[in-house]
This record gives sequence, C-alpha cells and structure tokens, in this order.
Amino acid sequence: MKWISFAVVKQKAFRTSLTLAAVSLLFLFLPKEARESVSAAIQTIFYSHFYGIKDKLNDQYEVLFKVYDINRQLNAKIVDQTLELTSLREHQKENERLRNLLGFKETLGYDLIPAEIIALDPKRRQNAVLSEISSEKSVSSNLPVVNVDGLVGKTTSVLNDLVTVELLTSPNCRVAARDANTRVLGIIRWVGGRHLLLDNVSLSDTVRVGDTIITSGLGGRFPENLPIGTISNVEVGRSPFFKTIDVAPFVDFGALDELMILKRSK
Amino acid sequence: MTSRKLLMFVGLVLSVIVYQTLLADLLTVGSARPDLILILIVWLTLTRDLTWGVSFAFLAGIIEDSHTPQFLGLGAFLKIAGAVAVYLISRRVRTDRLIIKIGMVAAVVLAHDILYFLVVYSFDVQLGFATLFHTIIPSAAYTSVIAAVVLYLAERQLTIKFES
Repeated sequence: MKWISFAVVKQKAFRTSLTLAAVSLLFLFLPKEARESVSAAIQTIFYSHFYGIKDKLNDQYEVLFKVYDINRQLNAKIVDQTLELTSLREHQKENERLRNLLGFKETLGYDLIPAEIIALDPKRRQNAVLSEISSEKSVSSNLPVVNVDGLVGKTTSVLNDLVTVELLTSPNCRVAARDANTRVLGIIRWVGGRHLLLDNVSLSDTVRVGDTIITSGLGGRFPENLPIGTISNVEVGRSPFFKTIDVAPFVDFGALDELMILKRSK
Repeated sequence: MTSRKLLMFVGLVLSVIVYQTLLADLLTVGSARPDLILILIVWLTLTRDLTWGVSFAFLAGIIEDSHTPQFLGLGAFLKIAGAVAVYLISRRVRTDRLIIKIGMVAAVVLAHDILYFLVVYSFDVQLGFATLFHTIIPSAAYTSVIAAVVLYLAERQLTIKFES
C-alpha cells in the first residue's frame, strides 16, 4: 500500500495512468445513448475518410479482378483459336495434296467486276441492265452474276459498257444445283410465283425442308458452291418420277442494287 | 511534449486507424487476428516511458472501442492496465532481450483478451473457454509472430540510428 501511494503521489506517469483509466471507466458506465453518441462521433472523426478510401480500393480491386478474369478467358480463347487455325491450315494443305493426287482441277479463282443496275424489267423481273463496267474488264456473255446474298443470274449480251443480265426468275434460266447437306443434284428453274423450283430430283432422293441449295458447278457455266436458297417445301405425288421442291431464293429480286459479275481469273 | 514527439504520436494513432480499416481484414487468418495496438503499446512503454504507453493505449483503445458502443472504454481500460503491467515488470526484469519482449506481448494479449471476453460474455466461463481456444490463443500466437518481426525491425532501426 505504501508503495502504491508513493507511486500515485510522486510519479507523474502513474497519475496519468490512473486518470486515463478513470476516464475509460467513466466511458464504460455512461448511459447507453451517450456511449452511442460518443462512438458515432469517434467513428465520424477517425474512420469515415478511411472507410471511403477502403470502399474505393475495394471497387478498384473488383474491377481489376474482373479485367483479370476476362483477360484469362480471352487468352484461353486465343489459344483455342490458334490451335483451330493451325488445324484448319493443316486440313487445307492436306486437301490440296489429295486434290493433286486425285488429279482434281485446282479450284479456279474469279475476278469480281462490280456493276450497277440502271434498268430492270418492272413487271416480270426477268432481265436487268447493268452499267459502269470498266472498259479494262472485258465482259462476255454467260458469266455468273451475284450479289452479297447469292446467285442472281448470268450475263446474256454485252454492248459497250452495258450488260444485260438474265435473272434466275427468267423462265429461260436453268442452273445446275445440289443440296448442300445431302449432295442430291437437281436443276433450278423458275415456274412462276415467289419461289424457284428444284427440278429433276427423283422420288428416292433425300432432301429436307431447310436444306441449303447451292450451285453444283456441273453445268460448266456457274462455279460450284454459290448459294441459291433454302428448301421451303417438298411435295411428292404431283409428278410420277420427281419430287416437287420449292426453293426460297436468298436474293431479294425485288430489291436488287449492287451486283458483281464473276469472271474467271487468268 | 515537443512537436516532434507529438507528430510521432499522431502518426502512430493514424497508423492504427489505417491498419484497422485497410489492413486488418487482409492479415486475419481464420479466427486469429494480430493485435497491432498491443504490440505498439508494449514497444512504446518499453522504449519511451509509461506516459507514452498509457496515452497511446487510451486513445487507440477508445478509437477501437467505438466499433462496439456498449463496451466503450473497456478496451481502453484494459490496454492502460496492460501498459502499466508492462512498465512494472520492466522495472524488475531485464527487457533488453527480444524474446522477453515477445513474451510480454503474448502475455499482455492473452490477459487483455481473456478479461475483455469475460466481461463481454458477462463472466460466462464456458463461453470464455470456448473463445480462449478458438480465438484468444491463436490470436496471441499470431500477434507474437508479428511482434517478433516488428520489434526486431524496430530494434535494428534504433541500433543503426545510434551507431551512425
């Protein structure tokens, strides 16, 4: 006791300790409302700014984490697509080798000659006249004409820089075609109405509604694989030998604008 | 207190606030959380004097207690008691060895947390025991490890300053 009283009376540090301890106990025994007010004031003074910084840092961290995640996904995709590309290149080389081995003709490239429609048969839409043909490009008859959607028709006559095109919707136009899925061959022609007809498909051949019809290249006039349309209806029984197959063309023949003439490159 | 000392004191208080808001969650491992405030109290009491220790204990304790308004002042009181205990022990035991300082930190953390949780749990001994093994002892061990690093670096810094 003597030592304690000596310490309390003589030593400043102990007096400070006792005072601060007493103040602490005073806080502890304050009424509940007063304690809450004091706590709120301390929080506001000391913590509010730092919690703002913490929230901002947390937000930035979340953004960084998201970017990191997206980056990982993109890297995985790049690796995946690089592998796919390598595989495709290998397939292309293999395809070329096999074609050479089998004596296949190399698929010839085509030059695209752009042209603009200046006249169109307004009622029956069988023919169109193109202009703006560059004099350097020598255009002849029987060249395929396409637009971005697919096959449009073929050139029939050339006069100076004006070219007449026979559209697929002309009754005289015939195109050797095939079903892209089942490889069934037929002939595309127009017999009136909005759709084309895939003719000469026997009753035993398999074709399905929704299949894509492309040029077969067998006629020698049109290159293979030009898109024509999709099968919209298949009927059996109208003809004793062939199926009646309606094809909805990809090209909107009522809204033709920019066309391309395909000319075999030299 | 000179302006330099005051600046250092304010810096320490600020470091406590920054630690509690920004770093404490990152340093928490399971239920163990290092008590940086008690490390600083022990260090200040041993290297400065008791006035520094208790002043820092009071301010840091009150700031920390503001998170739990129903026990406002309890943490501050126990920290002041811890500082006084460290001071009294340092007068009777040589504290120049690092291991002694780390031991003092561990003892202060244990005593502080046991008394704090006993009061918080209204002296429910069973609950106190559960907390002792689940939280208090792991926290004391973790704090001791952190204290070893902090006190070693502080001691080295002081030595370099003294020698230069």
